[in-house]
Amino acid sequence: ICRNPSRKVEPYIFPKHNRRKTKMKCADVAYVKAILHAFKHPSQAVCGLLLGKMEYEALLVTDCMPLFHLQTTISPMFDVALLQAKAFCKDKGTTVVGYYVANEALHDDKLSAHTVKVATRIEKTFPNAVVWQLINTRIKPDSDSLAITVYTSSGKDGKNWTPASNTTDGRVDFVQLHSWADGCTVPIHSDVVFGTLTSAIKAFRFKGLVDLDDSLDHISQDVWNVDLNAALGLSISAGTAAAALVGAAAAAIVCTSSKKSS
Amino acid sequence: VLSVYFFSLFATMKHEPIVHPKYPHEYKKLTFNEMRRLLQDIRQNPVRKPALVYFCGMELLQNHAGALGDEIWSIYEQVLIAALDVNQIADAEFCWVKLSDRFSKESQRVQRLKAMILEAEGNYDLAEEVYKDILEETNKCDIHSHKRRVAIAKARGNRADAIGKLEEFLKLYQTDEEAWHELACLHLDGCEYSKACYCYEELILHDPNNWMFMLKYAECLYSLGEKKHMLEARKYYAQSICLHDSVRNLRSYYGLWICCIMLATQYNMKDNAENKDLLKWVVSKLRGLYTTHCSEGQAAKPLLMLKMNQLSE
Repeated sequence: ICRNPSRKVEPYIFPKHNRRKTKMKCADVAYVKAILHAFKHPSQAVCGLLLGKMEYEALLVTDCMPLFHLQTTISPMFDVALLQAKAFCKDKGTTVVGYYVANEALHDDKLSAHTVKVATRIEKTFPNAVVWQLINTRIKPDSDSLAITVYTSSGKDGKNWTPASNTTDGRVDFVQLHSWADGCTVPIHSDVVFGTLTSAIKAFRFKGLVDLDDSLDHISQDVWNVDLNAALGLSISAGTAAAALVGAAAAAIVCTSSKKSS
Repeated sequence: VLSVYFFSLFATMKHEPIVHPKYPHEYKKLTFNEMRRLLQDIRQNPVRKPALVYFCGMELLQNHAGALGDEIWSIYEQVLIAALDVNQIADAEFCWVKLSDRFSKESQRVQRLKAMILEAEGNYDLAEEVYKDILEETNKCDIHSHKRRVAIAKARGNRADAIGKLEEFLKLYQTDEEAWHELACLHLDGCEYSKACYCYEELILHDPNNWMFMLKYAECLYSLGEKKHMLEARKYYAQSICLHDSVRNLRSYYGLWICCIMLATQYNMKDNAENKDLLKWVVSKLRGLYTTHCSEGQAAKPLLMLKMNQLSE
């Protein structure tokens, strides 16, 4: 019982896997909508913006804005999209944090020159921007693996884009955003997100997804996909309490069903 | 008796617009006549909806083949191509066998369809050989074989080769609008905006009253980036609005708006009276479109965006 004062007490060091620094956290909404966008247009290149903010030291991607499926390389509507995103994010405290793109050819998983140009431009306004390069071969109805490669820029002028080091083993930290959680993020397992994605694809929810090309052709379509978010039962960062409850219930159902299947 | 005859005549002449079902659970509820009209409509106004065509086509071919008559051969061809699109190669082969039994295997069209099946399986070399045979032996000017060769080059990821083949084809057929459009898209995929501009200029020469060509030309010019191109783009956006002043041309309104804003903020034209007038006009037009066609909730964010970017006078 008497303690020897000269005995050194070493501080308890947590095991290494708990100390992994998260560089990017992604809301399930953003990932599911991006993949559904690519699934909706299987023969075309698609692209979109990622919206989010910095949370403590990690980047939090809260939502995505699907942009184009017709021609991804021309700029005027992209500039309009950036201004629309700014207006949308104004009251949410988020901003444009990245760009996601799926190439036209099935096995093409590299960043094209145009993607790097766009990403460099976004990096100028938000220094920790990310690029999600969608892996086309992993986008299928039974999604069981992460279908994106996350690129971050190294190098001073922000032009050197390399795969982010915490995702080379294929893990991305998924979170849910609930308005009842007062802005905190609720971590969830990626299997839950893959389950939501699979059930969304099987229910053909991607047919209701609207991107900027669609809303420019039909003005009354909502490029923020608010009703799709609600239908998917996913967490919305600025949803009503009722929608959040629906989201929580649906997430719970998805959790139990994915546990049953696994 | 006469009135019944005239009534049936008018009934067949009635052209109702066909609504394509959006969700697959609606496909099963279509009747035989509806499926038939749907496939006819897609043949006449081509859209790429392979799942719908495959489902309706297979239903008709398997269960109602006797009632189709001579239309069945067009449906076999249509279903073959749709089956390739949804990766049902066995069903595509089935259709091909039926077509090659009816029209001989030496028929150009049947050979082309075989080559398309080879392409879908990934045998690009064999498919290329078939197209080369068709072009060298039977018909040097076969449009579809030329275009499929371009598609093979594109599928292999060889954009430069695709552009070369397409330019060769355009030397033979200079008025093929689809080909000029495809060449422009190939150039845009590689961010060669000036070459894409040239293609759209050709399209505008072919059809100066087409508002979509003006719109696409304006988008290319904008992407080139300098002040003179931005001014040209503004002009062509305005011309597209003149040709087609409606809510379907929302892209032109947005294009004109973003041109005016970019000229004012980045190219030192803030005090230019013409730019200011155009900007004011297009903002009022956009506001009008959103308030007319959208509910209040949906129009809120675009109207906020227009307000946020109003340049102070």
